[in-house]
Amino acid sequence: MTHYLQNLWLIACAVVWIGSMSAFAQNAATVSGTVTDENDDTLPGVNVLVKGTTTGTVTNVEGKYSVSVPGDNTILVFSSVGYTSEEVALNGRNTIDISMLPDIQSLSEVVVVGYGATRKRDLTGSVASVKGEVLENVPVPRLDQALQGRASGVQVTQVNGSPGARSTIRIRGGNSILGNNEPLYVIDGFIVGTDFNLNNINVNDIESIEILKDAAAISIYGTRGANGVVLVTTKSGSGMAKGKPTVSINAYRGVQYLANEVDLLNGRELALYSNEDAELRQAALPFQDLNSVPNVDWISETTQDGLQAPISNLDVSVRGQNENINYFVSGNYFNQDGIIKSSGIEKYIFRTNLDINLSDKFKVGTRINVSRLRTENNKVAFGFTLEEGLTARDIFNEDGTYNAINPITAGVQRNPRADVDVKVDHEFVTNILGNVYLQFEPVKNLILKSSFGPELNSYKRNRYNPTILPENLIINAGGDARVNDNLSVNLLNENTLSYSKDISDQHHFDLLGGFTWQTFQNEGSNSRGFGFTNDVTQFNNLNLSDPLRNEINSDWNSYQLVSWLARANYTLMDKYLLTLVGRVDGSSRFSGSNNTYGFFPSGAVAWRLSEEPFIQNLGVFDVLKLRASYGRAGSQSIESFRTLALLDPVNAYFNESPQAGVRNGRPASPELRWETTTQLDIGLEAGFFKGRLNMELDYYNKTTEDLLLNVQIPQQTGFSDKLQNLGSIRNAGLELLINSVNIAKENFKWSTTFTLAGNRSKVLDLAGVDYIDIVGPTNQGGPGGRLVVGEAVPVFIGVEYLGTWKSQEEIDASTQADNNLIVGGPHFKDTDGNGIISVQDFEILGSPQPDFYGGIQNAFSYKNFQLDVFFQGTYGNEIFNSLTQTAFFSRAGTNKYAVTKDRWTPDNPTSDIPRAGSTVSLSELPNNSKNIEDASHLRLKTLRFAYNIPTENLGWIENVNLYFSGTNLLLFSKFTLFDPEVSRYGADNTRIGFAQGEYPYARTFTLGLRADF
Amino acid sequence: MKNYLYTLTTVIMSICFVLSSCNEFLEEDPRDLLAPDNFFNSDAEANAAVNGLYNDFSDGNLYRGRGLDDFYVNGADVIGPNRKFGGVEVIQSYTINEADYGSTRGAWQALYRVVQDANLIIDRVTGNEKLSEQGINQTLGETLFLRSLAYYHLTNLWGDVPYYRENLPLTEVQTLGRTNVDQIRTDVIQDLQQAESLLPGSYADANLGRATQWAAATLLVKVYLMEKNWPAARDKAVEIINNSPHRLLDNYADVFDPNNEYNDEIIFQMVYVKDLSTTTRTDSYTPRIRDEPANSDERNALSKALDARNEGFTGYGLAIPLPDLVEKFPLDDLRRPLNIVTEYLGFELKFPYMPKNWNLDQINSPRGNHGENYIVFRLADVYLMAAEAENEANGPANAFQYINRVRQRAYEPDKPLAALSQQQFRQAIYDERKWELAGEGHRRLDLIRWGILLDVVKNTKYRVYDPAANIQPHHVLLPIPVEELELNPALLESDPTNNGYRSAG
Repeated sequence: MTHYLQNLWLIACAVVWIGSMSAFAQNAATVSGTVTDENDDTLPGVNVLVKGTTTGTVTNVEGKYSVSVPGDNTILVFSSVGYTSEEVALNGRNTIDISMLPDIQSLSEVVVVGYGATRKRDLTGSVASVKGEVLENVPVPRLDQALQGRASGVQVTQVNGSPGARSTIRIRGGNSILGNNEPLYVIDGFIVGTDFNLNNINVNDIESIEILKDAAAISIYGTRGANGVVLVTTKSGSGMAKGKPTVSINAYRGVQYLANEVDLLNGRELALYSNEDAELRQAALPFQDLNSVPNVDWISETTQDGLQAPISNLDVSVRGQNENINYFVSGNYFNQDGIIKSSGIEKYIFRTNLDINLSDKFKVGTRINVSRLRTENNKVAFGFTLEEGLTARDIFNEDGTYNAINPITAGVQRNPRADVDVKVDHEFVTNILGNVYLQFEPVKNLILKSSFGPELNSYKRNRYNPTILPENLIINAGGDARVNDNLSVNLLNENTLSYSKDISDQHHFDLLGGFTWQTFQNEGSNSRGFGFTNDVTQFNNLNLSDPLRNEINSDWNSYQLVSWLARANYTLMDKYLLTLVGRVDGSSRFSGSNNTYGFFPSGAVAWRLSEEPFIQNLGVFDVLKLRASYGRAGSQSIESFRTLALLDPVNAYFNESPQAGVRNGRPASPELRWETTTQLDIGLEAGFFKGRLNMELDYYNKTTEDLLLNVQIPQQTGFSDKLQNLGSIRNAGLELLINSVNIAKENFKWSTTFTLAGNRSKVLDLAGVDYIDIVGPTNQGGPGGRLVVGEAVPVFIGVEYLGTWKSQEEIDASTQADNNLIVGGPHFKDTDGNGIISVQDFEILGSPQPDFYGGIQNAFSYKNFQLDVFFQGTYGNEIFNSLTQTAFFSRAGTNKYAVTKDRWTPDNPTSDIPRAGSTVSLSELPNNSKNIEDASHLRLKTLRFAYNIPTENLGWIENVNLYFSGTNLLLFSKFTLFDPEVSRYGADNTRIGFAQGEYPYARTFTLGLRADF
Repeated sequence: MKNYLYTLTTVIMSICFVLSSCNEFLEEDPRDLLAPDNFFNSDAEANAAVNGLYNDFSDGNLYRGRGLDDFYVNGADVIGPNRKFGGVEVIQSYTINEADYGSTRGAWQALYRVVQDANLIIDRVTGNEKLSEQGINQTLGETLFLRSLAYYHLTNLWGDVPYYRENLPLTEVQTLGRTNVDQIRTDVIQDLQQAESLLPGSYADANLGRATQWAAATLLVKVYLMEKNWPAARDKAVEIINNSPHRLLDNYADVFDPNNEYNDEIIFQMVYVKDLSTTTRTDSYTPRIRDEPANSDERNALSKALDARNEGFTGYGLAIPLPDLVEKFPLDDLRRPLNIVTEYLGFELKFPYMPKNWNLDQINSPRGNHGENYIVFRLADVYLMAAEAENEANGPANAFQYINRVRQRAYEPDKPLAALSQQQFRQAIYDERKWELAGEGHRRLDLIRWGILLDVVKNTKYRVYDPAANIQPHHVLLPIPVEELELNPALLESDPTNNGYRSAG
């Protein structure tokens, strides 16, 4: 496939090159005109450029210009600092007079909101907006990654570095404990839910992404809006020059290099350590001959880089419009091989967007996205390689088979190299997201719109562990295979009626009402076979497995929703704005309860101070707007059928054979309801210097109540817990966005976008208990995380690690004298002084919640060169590193950090690194402060250097942009495992900030070419 | 105006239509779920629900893995770990308290899960016209036996416990206080008598492992012993010996043969199957190679010798004979090699092990994938209970026949007991039960019901921990875990001391 893409890429280059060679002469002509401002005063110094060329001129003191153009189809670009750039197609004219509007962004900028769009200046709610241009040419394959650091108050954390890996997104903090904290995704008006696989969307198709954050913006999404809403709008042909289609090609190819570096003891050092350990425990030395100890770098054995780990991308799109139709059609091919061998993702995505005017009153259109993904899943956890890929262990046995023995413990152990070599694990997704709409405008400004569409998703995953996998071979287990299938259908119909009306020039009304319904159905199946004797058929013929050990399963899931929604906007004298929003949702998930329907109202007011004379007289502000909103949104965070009592299927065994059985699964919970988030938002928007500096500052405070919790009930019931709506969490914070144009000379421009946000979360109530363990702290080797009333969500817990015991006297004098401790062993703080280190001694040791997070983008342009530098980071968060339990503390049989070379020995009695052999079992190691590390980091996320090749002589080529970009180039972080942007528990709700060695990140270098015809 | 009214009516009607059809539209469609309300429609469904109870008992907190052995095997004078091990520490060292209670809470919940599930079954099958009479009887018989077994363990471990036998709403169950143990046992005896009358004496092959009339009878003997109702215990035990199809195997080792698990001596067992429903209990009894042999330089040689037999020391070594047992187990007892080995394949071992509970076979019983059944009741136990009950009721004269029947296969030539006083006979029973049933989940309860737990523990040689220094009189019962007390304060009403683990008031 890679070859295929290489070829495509070459063809694309060739097309561009041939195009440039075949430049042919056109009829040159001269165009002239006058440029004025919004008050009809003439504008001097306006740049007038022939689009796609460096040919241009500047208006004189009378605002007049004259420029020679290559042909009738030319487009002129008028630009001036403080004014919105205008593109005007000549269409045969040779006089173009235009009036330019001040570029006060909020004046002209249109922002998509739920069920509509509005001018930014009329917005009463808090909406972050990221435009498609920012995402163009940045080789970021997923839109969630593209949001990172670019939208304030939106915390994006990628779960790991594997190709296609998802991110967790927290908009103004997480509201829920058991429910879902991911935002609702709405793609071109289609509600795809919170778990939509964003790999299905081509980032280059995106026109804009809006993030709805406050109550006024989100409550139009009712029971599903509480975590914020991400609205994705894809490109259309509207706004394009009439008649002429624009063909765009974007191709890039990149290479990746492993960014993570973790220093471990080498083979010989580990052997020494292990022998020292055994000696102390009076066990046999695992390495009798130190000279024959191998030194294997399992990380390089299981990873690949450079051209072995390429990224390739090709986008082709056509967009344009005629009198009655506008269109955008695109295709995308993307292929990325992972940094870990035998992992990667390959995608094909096709999109068709059409809008057709049937008559003055009727309009129809469609948005169709079809995607096919193939993910080669990772075969060996990086953390496993770090922990158990012993540097002192051979890869192969002498007979060439994979070594399955841990040389230190003599136990059976997986072989990471065998995992990447022979395991089979891949998945396919085919997704169709379609939507058609009919719009009817019987009288002006009264619009009836009805849309209908499906999302169809097919998923298949195949896995096979062959007989030759060493852990299978050694116990003669045979191969085992597993096949999962899933097919889901999501149907949505939305009907809205909107009306806008001006009464005199004092009052403006926008009204919206609507009715929608949605259904979702999913069918899954899962089959496993064990004991394959032959590897030839892999997962393709499960019948060849041991007939006594098949596992089969299938499942069904469905839900329905009906909703009524309404919104009213009222503007008085273009200064005072009022918004009222409400949605009623009826959800099948609560139909077993008395709470089927929920009502979610909100209201907002805004005051455009800059329209007031007393502000205008100050002469400082172009824009000054104060806004406030208050209201509720919900989260229907329970699964389907959750209110019903269940019988669980189980097996019982008689005479060595299974018989089917059932038993009580869970009790009925007819009182369940949605979680409700009430939010206050106060925002200030200000613009200065004719739009060159814009700021937006928001304060929010939101409280989520009726949190779903598995509340413990007495176990004498036979159950241990029951789902109830009882808890409460608060999130409050500040968000800042600054856009500035620092320098705007004719040939040199420098602009900056800066986002910064800080969220403070606090657990208010946990149904009467003081804390809930979210990661069991008593597990051997941890980790431990908790929700504690009054603290952030979540906190890490454990005892303090005080270094090593330095002398027997120190041990004897301590409360822990009776615990058989040894000098050089780890010294943990006995917080309660009772002589026993237990959960009772645990203290709060940190939290994964940053004090603040954000990003800064600097864009420089000099003539045809552009340089974009984007940094992103977090500050004040901690991370729980489980690898430390085995790699720093001394339990035999695992790799150790390189720093343990300086461990405590009788000759090195001041070291605070525990003595080899001082810990025999993980159960001796409580969660402790050594596991907690600073996760603050600053990342040079992207650096992009681009060159616009002059195209004035290239005829039909409008625009050619050659770019080089690097992602993840620099990371400033003190974390032992290098990159703290990881999540062991994936996109889990509250279990965030846990690491054990996740799929590593790559440094990526790409070379790309973008051309418009 | 007319037009306007017409429009208004239409709008109102359509809203009503939409609303009423919405409720229909929003009805859930749980196609892949079973609910208690739509179950119990046939004998087969009732049987499936009973199967659920067997599954409850095969739980890791009961008969799978260490499970109930934590409380019945550990903390006595037979078995202990070869090293410090958190899983059994609080029982083995008698440092248990209501906040640090090991696996106590897991067992508590697992046993009440049986109660909850059993109560649902009894509620749904009693008088259910969709079931045959035979179906109802079989279901009730098994359910009553299994619920009795749950309350038997609950009362053994905690004494007075929350007690309910109907399908009550959770809100009612979760506020129940503790019921006197004697009242519970009185009901359990009745339930077991009913179960006895409903259950068959044996099953066809496909159902080997289900509870028979004789399983119910054996449990009845055990409850009578707890109640010190000696004549009733003796009568029931003798009835089992005389009337049941069970018999003592000629060879002690055959009882534990993994290839003959459904042998005549076994009255009730929990079934485990390699690859399908596995137990890790075997791993606890199997040595781990990193401990062995005594001379660690010979480890490779031992490994090779084991390999040659497709065997391996791949276990945990966490349940091995205490030094005390090794010292006292008579050397001429034919049962000793099944209970204690100190060398293997010519290698002297660092620790002793109990071969009847281990399995070294790496092909049929590899690490973490063992299928050895858990023997709950077997006939030798019934013989010894008959002997004990007869001795307590009438003195030893008529009791020798039962104990000597068990000793018959233990010595070659025979060493029958004779001419003992009642007290001497009692002592003989103490010992005989230890040799015959070592590591089979009886010992600690035996010591407790004989009232000698403290005395024995204080005079036993242990390998790790110092239980003799820690054991207290209240340790004959477990504490109710503190979390349960917090969730249901009514548990402290009848006994504010929580079985002596907290000071009253």
